[in-house]
Amino acid sequence: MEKCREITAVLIGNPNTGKTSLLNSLTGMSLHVGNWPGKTVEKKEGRICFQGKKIKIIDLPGTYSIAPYSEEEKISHIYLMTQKPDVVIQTIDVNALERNLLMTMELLALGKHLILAFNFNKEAKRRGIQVNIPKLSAELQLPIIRIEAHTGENIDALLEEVVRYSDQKKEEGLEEKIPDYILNLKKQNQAYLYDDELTHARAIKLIQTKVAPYYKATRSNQKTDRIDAFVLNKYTAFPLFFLVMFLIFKTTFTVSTPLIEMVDGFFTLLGKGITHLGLPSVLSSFLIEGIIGGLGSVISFAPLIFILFFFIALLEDSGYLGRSVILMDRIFHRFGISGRSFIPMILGFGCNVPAIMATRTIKAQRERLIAIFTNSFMSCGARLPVYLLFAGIFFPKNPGAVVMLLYATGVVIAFVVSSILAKLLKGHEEETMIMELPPYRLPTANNVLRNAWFHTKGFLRKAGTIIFGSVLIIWVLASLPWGVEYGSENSLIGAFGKTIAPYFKPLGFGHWTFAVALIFGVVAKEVIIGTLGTLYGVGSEALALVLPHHLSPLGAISFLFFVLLYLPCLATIAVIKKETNSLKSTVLQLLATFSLAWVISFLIYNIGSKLGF
Amino acid sequence: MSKTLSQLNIGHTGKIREILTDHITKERLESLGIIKGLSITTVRETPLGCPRIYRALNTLVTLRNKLAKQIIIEEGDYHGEVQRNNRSINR
Repeated sequence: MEKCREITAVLIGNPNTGKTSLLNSLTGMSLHVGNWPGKTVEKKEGRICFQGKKIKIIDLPGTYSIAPYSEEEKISHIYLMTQKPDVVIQTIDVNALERNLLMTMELLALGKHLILAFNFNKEAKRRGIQVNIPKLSAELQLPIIRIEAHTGENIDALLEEVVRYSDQKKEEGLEEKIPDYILNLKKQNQAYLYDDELTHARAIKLIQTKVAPYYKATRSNQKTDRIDAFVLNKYTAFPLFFLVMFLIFKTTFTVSTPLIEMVDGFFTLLGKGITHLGLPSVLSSFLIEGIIGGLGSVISFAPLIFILFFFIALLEDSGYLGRSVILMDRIFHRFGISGRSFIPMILGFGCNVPAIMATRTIKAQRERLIAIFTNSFMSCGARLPVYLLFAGIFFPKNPGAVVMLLYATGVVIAFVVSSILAKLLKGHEEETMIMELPPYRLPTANNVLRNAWFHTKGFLRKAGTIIFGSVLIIWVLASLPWGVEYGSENSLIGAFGKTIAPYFKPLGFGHWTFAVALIFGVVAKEVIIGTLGTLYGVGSEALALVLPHHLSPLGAISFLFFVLLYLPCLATIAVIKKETNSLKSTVLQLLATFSLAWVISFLIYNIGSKLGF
Repeated sequence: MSKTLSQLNIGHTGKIREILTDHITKERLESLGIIKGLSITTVRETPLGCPRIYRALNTLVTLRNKLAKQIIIEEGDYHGEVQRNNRSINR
C-alpha cells in the first residue's frame, strides 16, 4: 500500500517568476497563466502520473512573502502552517535571485522540504548573469533545478527531483528539518523579538553572503531600460498608451461582432428546430424563450470576452500592463483611486462579471469597493446592441456620436462617483501602489491563449449558472397565468410592468412595454431588444417602424442613459454580492445606481424638453 | 547626506537608512527588496512625475512620491555593483 502513496507538491513563487507557466507545463491542465486579474487567489490543483508515481500539485497564490498581510499571503501562510506537503517547489527568477531568496528563507524557517526551480535561465545568460548552480545548491543545502517554465524545458528533471526528494525525506522520517543557517537566523531574530525590523535586513545579509561567490549579476536590464525609455517617455508614453487601447478595442469589437452573430444565429436556428418538433407549447416555449434564449445570450458574449482577455493577457505577459497601470495612477489618484482600478475598468467594456472579479488585484479594501461599485457604469458589450439599435432608429444621421456619448458618460460618472465614494469611505486604508515592474518579455501563444480561455470558461460557468436560474424565474413570471401569450400585457410580468410604467413617464418612456423590457434587461441587457420585439409582435428589424410611435428622440436618449446606468445584470449582481460578501452593500449599490439613473434620465428629458428638443 | 528617497535624483543611488511607514507597508517594501542598509537607485519618473521607478535588489519597483518621502536614504558613491561586494548591514 505504501507504494501507492501520492506525493503532494506545492507550488509557490514571487509574481512574474513563471509560476503559472510552470503549473501549466507540469499539469497540462488548462489553468490560468500570468499574474493579473484575480489569478491564483483560488487554490488550484493538478494530478499527474510520473514514473509510476502519482503527484498532486497544489498551486499557491503568487506572493512576495508568506507573512500573513494580504489576502493571498494569508492563503499561503495558513496552508503552509497547517499542512505538511511532501515537497514545496519555489519558482525563482534567476534575474532577481537575491530578492526571490527572501521568501525562500521564510519557507525554510517553516521547515518545508524545498526544491528551487530556477527559471528564465536563458534570459539571464543573455544578460550576462552567471550562476554556479551545484555550488549554490550545496551552500544553501537545497536541490536546485534549472527550468524554462514557458517551454516546459527540463520539467522532467524537476519531477524526478520531486520524487527523489520526497522519497529521501520519507526515509529521513518525514521530519521537517530546518537548515542550521536558518536556525541561527531565527535565534538572532529571537533576540530582537521586540524589534522585528531586523528580520529582512538580517535575511538579506545572509542571502548576499551565501550567494555572492556563486552569483554574478549585472546592474541593469538594458533591454527593459531601452523599452521603458520609449514607453514611459514624456512625449511618447500617452500617445502610445492611447494607440494601444484604441487598437485593442477596435480589434476586439471588429473581430468579435461576426462571431457573436454566428453564435446568435446558431441559437436562433436551434430555437426554430425546436418549434418544428411539435412539442407541447408550454415545453417548447420554456426551451426556446427560457433556456435557449437565456443561455444563448450568455454564450454569444464568449467571443467578446475571449478576445478582450486575449489582449489583456498579451499586455500582461509582455510587461506593458504594469506600465499602463502606473501611467494612469496619477490621473486616477485625483479621483481618490489608483492605477490598479484601470484594468477592471477596461475589462468592464467587455463584461462586468470578469471585470469585477479582477478587482481582487486591488489590495486596499476601500478602493476595491469603489471599483466594484463603479464598474457597471462601464458600458459592457451587452449594452452596445441596445445603443446601436436605438441610435440607428432615432439618430440615423450620426448614431456613432450617440454611442460615443453614452460610453463617455459612463466613464465620467464612474470617476465622479469614485471621488465621492473615496471621500465617504475616508477611514479605510488607501492603496499604496507599491508595484514591481517586470522585465519586458515575449509572450508565448500558449500562455496567452490558455489565459484567455481560462477567463472565458470562468465567465461561461458563472454567468451560465446564474442565468439558468434567473431565466427560470423570468420565464415563469412571463408565462403565468397559464395560457397568456409569453411576456404579454396579461402575464404577471406584463402586469407588473404596467404598474411601474407611470414612474418612467417623467423620463419620457412611460409606455408599459419599456418597463417590461427593462425588467427583462436585468437578466441580460441585450434582451431588451428581443423583448420589445416580442411585445410589439415584430422582429428586431421592424422595431424601426414601431418604436417612433411610442418614443420621441429625446425620450430615446433618456431611455438609453437609463439603460446605461439603471441596474447591472443578474450575473453581475451575483458577482457583486460574492466579491463584496455583503448583502447590505449590494442592495445599497442597486438602490443607488437605480436612483442615479432615474435622476439623470429625468434631468435629460426635462431639461431637453424645456430647450425645445 | 541624508535625504528622502523622493529627493534622490534620477540615475542616482543611495543607501536606505530608515523606513518610516506603517508596519504593513514596511513589510511590503522589504519583501520587494527595499530594506534598510541596501542601496536603491532612481531609474526614471513617469510622464506626470508620479509614481517614480526605482531599482532595488535588481528589480524595478514603482513608488508614489508620497510614500518615497517616508524612506530616508543617504546619498553617496553607492553603486549597486560596489555595494554587492562590500556589503555591510547597519544594525
